Amino acid sequence: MNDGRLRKIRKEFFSSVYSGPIIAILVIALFLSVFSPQFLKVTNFVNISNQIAINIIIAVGMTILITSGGIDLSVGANVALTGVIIALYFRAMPEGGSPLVGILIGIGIGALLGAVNGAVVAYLKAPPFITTLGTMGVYRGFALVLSGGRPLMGINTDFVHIFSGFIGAVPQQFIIALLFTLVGAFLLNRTSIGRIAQCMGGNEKTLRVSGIPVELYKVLMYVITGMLAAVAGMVLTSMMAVAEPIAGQFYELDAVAVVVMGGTQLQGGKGTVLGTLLGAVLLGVVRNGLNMLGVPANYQQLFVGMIIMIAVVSGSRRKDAVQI
Amino acid sequence: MIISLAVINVFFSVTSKYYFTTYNMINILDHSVISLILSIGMVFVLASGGIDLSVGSTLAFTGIVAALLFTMGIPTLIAMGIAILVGILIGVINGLVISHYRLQPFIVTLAMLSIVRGLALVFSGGNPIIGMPAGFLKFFAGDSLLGNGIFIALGLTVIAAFVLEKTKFGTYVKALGGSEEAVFLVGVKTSRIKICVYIISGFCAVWASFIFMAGMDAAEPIAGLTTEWMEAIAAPIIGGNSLDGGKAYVLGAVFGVLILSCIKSGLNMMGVGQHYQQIAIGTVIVAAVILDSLRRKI
Amino acid sequence: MNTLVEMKSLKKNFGGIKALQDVDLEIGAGEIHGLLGENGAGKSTLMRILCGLEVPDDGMIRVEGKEVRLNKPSDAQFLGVGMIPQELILIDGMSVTENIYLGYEIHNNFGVLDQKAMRARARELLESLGSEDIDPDMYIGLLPKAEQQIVAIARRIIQGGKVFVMDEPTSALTEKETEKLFKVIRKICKEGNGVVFISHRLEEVLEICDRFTILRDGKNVISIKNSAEIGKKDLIAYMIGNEIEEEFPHTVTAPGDRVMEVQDLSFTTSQGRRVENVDFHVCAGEVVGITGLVGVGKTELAQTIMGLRKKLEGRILIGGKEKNINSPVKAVRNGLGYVTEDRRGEGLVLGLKSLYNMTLGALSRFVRGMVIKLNYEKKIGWHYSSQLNMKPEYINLEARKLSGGNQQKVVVIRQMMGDSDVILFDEPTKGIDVGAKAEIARLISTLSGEQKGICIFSSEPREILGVSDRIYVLNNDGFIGPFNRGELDYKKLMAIEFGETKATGVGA
Repeated sequence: MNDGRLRKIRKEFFSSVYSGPIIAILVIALFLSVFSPQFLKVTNFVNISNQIAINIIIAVGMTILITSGGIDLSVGANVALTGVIIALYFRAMPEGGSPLVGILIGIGIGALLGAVNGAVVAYLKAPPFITTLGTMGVYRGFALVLSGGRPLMGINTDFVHIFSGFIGAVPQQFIIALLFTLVGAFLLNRTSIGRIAQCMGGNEKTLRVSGIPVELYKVLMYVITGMLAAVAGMVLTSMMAVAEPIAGQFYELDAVAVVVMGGTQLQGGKGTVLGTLLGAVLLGVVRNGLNMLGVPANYQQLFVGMIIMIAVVSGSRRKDAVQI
Repeated sequence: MIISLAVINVFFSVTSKYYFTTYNMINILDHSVISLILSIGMVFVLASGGIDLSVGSTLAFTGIVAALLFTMGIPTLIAMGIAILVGILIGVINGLVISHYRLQPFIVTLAMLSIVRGLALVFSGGNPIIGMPAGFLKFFAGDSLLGNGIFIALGLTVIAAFVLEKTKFGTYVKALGGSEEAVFLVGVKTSRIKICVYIISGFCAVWASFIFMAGMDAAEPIAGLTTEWMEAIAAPIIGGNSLDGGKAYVLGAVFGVLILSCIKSGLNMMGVGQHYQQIAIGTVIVAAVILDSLRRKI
Repeated sequence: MNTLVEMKSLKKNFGGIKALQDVDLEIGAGEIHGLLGENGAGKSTLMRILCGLEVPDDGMIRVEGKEVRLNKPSDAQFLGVGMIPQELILIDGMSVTENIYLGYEIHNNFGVLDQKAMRARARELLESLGSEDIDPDMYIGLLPKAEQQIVAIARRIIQGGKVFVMDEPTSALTEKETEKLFKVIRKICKEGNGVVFISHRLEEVLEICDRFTILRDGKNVISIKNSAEIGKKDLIAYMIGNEIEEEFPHTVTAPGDRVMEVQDLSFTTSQGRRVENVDFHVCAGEVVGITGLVGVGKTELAQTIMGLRKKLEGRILIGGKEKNINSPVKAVRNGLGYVTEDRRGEGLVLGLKSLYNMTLGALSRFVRGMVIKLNYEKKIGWHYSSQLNMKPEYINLEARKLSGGNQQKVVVIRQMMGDSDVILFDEPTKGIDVGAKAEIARLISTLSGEQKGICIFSSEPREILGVSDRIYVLNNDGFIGPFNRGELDYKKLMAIEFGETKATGVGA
């Protein structure tokens, strides 16, 4: 029966976790295209995708981490510190160094920063949010110290070209972000690491009883997050062609916001990378719309905060929300 | 506690001849006042088993509100009263959302941090508001070397200690952090207590804001957002309070604040840059948290 | 003697399970009333209703002659009825005085506490209970369990308690401490209060109670006065009745070599008691049953073997070699598998698909590189669930949505998918309907048929008797056994569990 099938598809859509963000995006986009002539231009879409790329990369890592029951507020500082260290490397090398080595260093730093977070949380049993609050200060401090408090230029030009530029009309960094989204989704849904992340967030005791080394995997989750934040840092540095020690401020809030908006639950156990992508698009569209409508930048902070609050509260009221 | 304070002081007085002077000591106390007031409020929240990340934003926002009202010509006392109400309102919202939706305090207050900070930016247009009324400045500046702020801080400290040790409410706050179930079973309304502690936290943030504004003769939208709010959490924990709740050491929080201030001052004296200080403070927070979780294991 | 509490014709259902059917209970003033019955007989449900933690589906409750509705704990407390649960629910970080007065503090109009008065009254109260040695300013966390118990009683007195429901109060106490507790109980009853005493320790129950009410399967069996003629045997007989044993299918397999041996093991129970000299072994293809009353330490024994709990002394041998198992990772690596007692709390990730719960322990089987072969996983999941008569569609449902019986099947399938040599089952059929019970039992037999060594920890005697090849009993005197299949019947086993006879078994 055609009608019945249609009804079934409609029901499935509305009850799925993606319906919220998708509907919101469509509604807002509709609203904006009516009230602001610039919105539907290609250049605008390019703009949006440029701006959300970095957020997406970080948020993918954060999705996996939050699904496993953790959280990392030091990612913004990670972005800055990674950029600074890579810049120092490039400046130190006589011919500007090799971009490949730069990338490796960056990933290594990200992994290290993540490992520190993970070790303290997993082995010393410290609460994640406040621990990473502290490491945020430490990493930010190192970024400031190592850079002398000034932006660092002299980034290897090949490196810059790797991450910025265009492929057709689409900015390269957005493609990179999409790639990481795919990898992240694959990791979460189809690999053993992702499966363990889901279990960890749902019921850590079950993992332990089944003989899986919980602490080791916890550290791994933080390492993944750290590496992705580092990648975001590298993208940012190459986009700007400069490494700023104060970069990345509030990136952690934005990451948490889009993860929550995308439907991943803060308590852990359920996560969707695709949802995070939608959340990032939604946030990007909202920000873009506010800009188009001439709303001053100050209001944007307000909006992000309110969105987190609304998402968190409505998340707790969903029927399948896991009770604390 | 006292030992660590003493050790730190000895260390720094060795490294810089300017450290152990009266002038510097007064400086340290002066700078401690704001963190102390925030920490006092935080002691209540921590004791009940929660946490309030939004105090820094509340400090900034209520300051902006008061300053705006001043510029609009509203009488000083009334403007202050309104600002206090705003601080209390923020606390009410925190407490209500946390208890009604049974959400984790850290994420709710994190969202509030963002919202209120945004409000501060919006209301102020992103710029500081300069020029406080003379009466306001006079009240907080006072005649002594230290300024009246410290008396307010001490007053709040004493009141807090009294409430936590000697009143029914204080007992319930600590009991809530110890075992929410026990409190529920004796028929005490847990949501009421939760809302109250966040109100206290917001209230303290407003007073910290007043002192800050009097000191700067301006209200800044980014006030309290660099390290003060983190210190407000770290200091009580250094002083023996626990993230889990159940304990309420007001004196410990005082020592925690002093320790942090001494460290900051000492590093300054040593010529250590601001940036290193940030590393130091961040490390101290992490260390405090590790200490707390180790304490809990025992 | 007037009646303090009268409960009549109480009914309570949980889902489809009939916890209470037409249960009556009467507690008189000054009476120490023993409430007895096996696990699942309905004792705790009845008391939870009395204390306002559950609402009955039908029936009447009268307190001091007046009919009442108890919808929340404070309703019951208002009338003087309250429970002292096994875990006591005191606040560790607060003092004795503060705990005693929690919620009922002496204060002036501003809320300022009169700590001097409370301390003095607390001291008086403790003295009157014969415990003048308890310091009212001491932190609860530092007191031994016995003294914490007295504090809990004192708290109830301050709350205006008239009826004190005590749930297993003596399980963590020594003989001397129990005597002291009994003095206190007798004292409060002399003043006209009533005490409901729930305990498995029949000698104590016989010593202190004036009257007994015995429940079985949610129904009243009898309510009788204590007298010199009544002994343990009679109580046991009332509790278990003369029912036919349930069918637990069992297949006989010829046991192979010893896969696991536990020698001289000691550990502490969750109540702080030390259990020592545990010796037993399990052979391939064998089902070994370890039984005992609730709280005696069976789960803790399983946890110690699995490395989840610290081993104080002793050795564990796997395949004849001594292994140092101090973490569950090592346990699993050495071929041990564990099905926990608490399905929902420890055994399952409730929000996760059942299929994923099943494959959790053996992910490596389905993984190539790091990728999970989802189709293969589904196929194997189908295979096992149909083997257990579980509707295959269920594997796609979240574990939370399955019935208790199906949830347990999921956990068992997890073990089947792994390749452990020894599987420990903790209360495998707890809270499961009869049909599923039989299936799980059949499954256990199948597993033993595959030459695995199975160790069942259970407080359900019928289950142990039905499934085991050899039986060990853990009771207050120690670890006793083994008994071969057929050596024990229900009555004999219960007698040993209660410490009634000094049986020793055929020797390890």
